[in-house]
Amino acid sequence: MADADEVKAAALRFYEALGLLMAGNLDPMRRVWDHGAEVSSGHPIGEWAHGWDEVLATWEELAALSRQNTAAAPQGAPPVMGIRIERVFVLGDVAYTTGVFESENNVNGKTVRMSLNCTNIFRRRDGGWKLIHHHADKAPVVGDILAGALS
Amino acid sequence: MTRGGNDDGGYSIAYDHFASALRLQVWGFWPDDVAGQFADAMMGACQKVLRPVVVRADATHLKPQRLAGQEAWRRIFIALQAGGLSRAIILCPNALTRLQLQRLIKETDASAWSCVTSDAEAAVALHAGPPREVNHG
Repeated sequence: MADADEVKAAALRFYEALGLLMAGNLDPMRRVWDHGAEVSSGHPIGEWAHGWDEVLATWEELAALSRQNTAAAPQGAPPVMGIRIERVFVLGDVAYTTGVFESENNVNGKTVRMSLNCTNIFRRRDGGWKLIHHHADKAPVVGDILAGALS
Repeated sequence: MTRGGNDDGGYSIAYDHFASALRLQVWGFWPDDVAGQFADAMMGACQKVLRPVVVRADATHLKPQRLAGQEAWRRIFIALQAGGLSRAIILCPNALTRLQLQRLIKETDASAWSCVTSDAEAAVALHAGPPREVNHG
């Protein structure tokens, strides 16, 4: 498989892991990331996380909030999510993708559609590609979605 | 004033005699040992102040915490809720950190605690309605 295809597959695995995380399974998300100090993430809500511990803390919190929402409204419609990978660039042992993440959620009885530009950077490690940076557009409405069970 | 951690993650706790309030600053990401020290320091500070206790916390630069940090907050929420807390306001504009704190507040039934996103909201929240009744015994 060509490098670009491998990177695209790694990016798709990340979004698959995101879907599983929202369903309460954090393990696939752990697996797609490099666990070093030089990783970073920026989500639609919150500020930058730097280093694996901080990055993992954000994913753990997103999973915890999703679990709480699911427990509060087990019959609610699950979010619809999808990713369109626009481009893949490979620069030796580093590569990045640009893409558009689209989702549809029910917020207080209203359907909220989002379309967020996203960037993911990967590093080749041990024959595979691991995520070292993830960034998505800011979208404060995500806070409203996740706060559902807290209000 | 009690201070712990470092610039990357830490806390400071001070008692404002004039306002009869504990003023708390928390920032960054806490290693496990700092999280534990924070909870211990907060408990110790609360034992030394007059009842009822008012807490004003500035968490503007606090990041979402892993298990040790969450456990520190849980200990504080539960202990103060049971032991003379009148009202507690956490200023936290970082949405993901705020959701984490709100989740922990809900999980511990710490209804005297609330999170706000601005100084103006904090002022309103601090002066809104009578303080929660506390047991002075």
